[in-house]
Amino acid sequence: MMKAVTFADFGAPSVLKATMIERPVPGPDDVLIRIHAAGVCYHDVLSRGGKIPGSKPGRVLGHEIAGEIVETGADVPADRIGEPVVIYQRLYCGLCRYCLSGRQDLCRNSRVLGESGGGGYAEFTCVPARNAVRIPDGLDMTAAALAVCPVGTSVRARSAWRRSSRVRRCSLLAPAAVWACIRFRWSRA
Amino acid sequence: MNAHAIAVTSSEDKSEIVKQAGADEVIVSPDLKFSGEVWRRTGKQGVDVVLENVVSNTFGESLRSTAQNAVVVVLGNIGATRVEIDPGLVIVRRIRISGSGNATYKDVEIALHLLATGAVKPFIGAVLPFPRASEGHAMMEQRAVVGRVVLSGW
Repeated sequence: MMKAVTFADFGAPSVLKATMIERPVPGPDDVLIRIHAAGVCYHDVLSRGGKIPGSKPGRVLGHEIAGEIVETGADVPADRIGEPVVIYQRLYCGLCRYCLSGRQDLCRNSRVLGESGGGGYAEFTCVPARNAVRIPDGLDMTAAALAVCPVGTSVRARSAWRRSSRVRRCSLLAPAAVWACIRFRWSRA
Repeated sequence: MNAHAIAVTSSEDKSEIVKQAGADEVIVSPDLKFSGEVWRRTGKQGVDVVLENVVSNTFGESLRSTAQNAVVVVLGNIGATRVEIDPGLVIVRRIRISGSGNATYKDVEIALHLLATGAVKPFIGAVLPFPRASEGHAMMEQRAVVGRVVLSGW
């Protein structure tokens, strides 16, 4: 068993309760991760409120996860135990044309950790070993947890407009979410 | 990035933080009627790119803030409600509306590098133990926190 925060019904924030649930067991290609930090995304807020299609109560939310590998499946090198990692939140197939071209974000055979359960509001989670991305030395878990969603989503968004032929002015609407949370100093070429 | 960034926020309290985050200019717009001010500040040229992470109650103003042939990137959806689009405006200005979502695996590696080198510093508004997740959700819902809420420890 393990500690987790879950919700029995959609509703106000107070529906989130700490409880005990089954601890996941890694399959042959999986790793078990002890979670150190989990960011709260506004997507979690919408999921809890029943505003995301396909959301269901009872799931463990959270897709911004940093932790440490504590157990490996039979087909995963055991020397990954102890590795500090963030979790790439989309559990992709790796076989479709999108995955093969490096666009795992477009995989139609995928699901996202948290909104589909197994998320970060828990002591442990279990994911395919390829989804566990090593944290560079010196980066603490709290900051690293934000790499996958707020920072990573911003990196992706930048790709969406890089094809624009000419950029003079850029408007950022930031009252609540991603960009307001990030201090960025990308070089100005 | 060779861009001049104009940030829009509904709250004066967030103005300085948004500026520290890298915005060249900040428009404080409690009523979210900001396109006129964008128009004024850009010499009636409009902006070439909008990064829209709110959409509800802002999308129309974002479209009206654009220059000809601009790109409006939709990467967030705070209210999760439907919005109206003025098709005439989209046609006349040749606006391209581009959806953007999860990172790719490669994007995450880039994000980790940006964080590890200090090129990007995350703005964390609160760190709460996991059993207080409900408090974190309430803070976000009520816009009572600036920056990310992170859960850590039991």
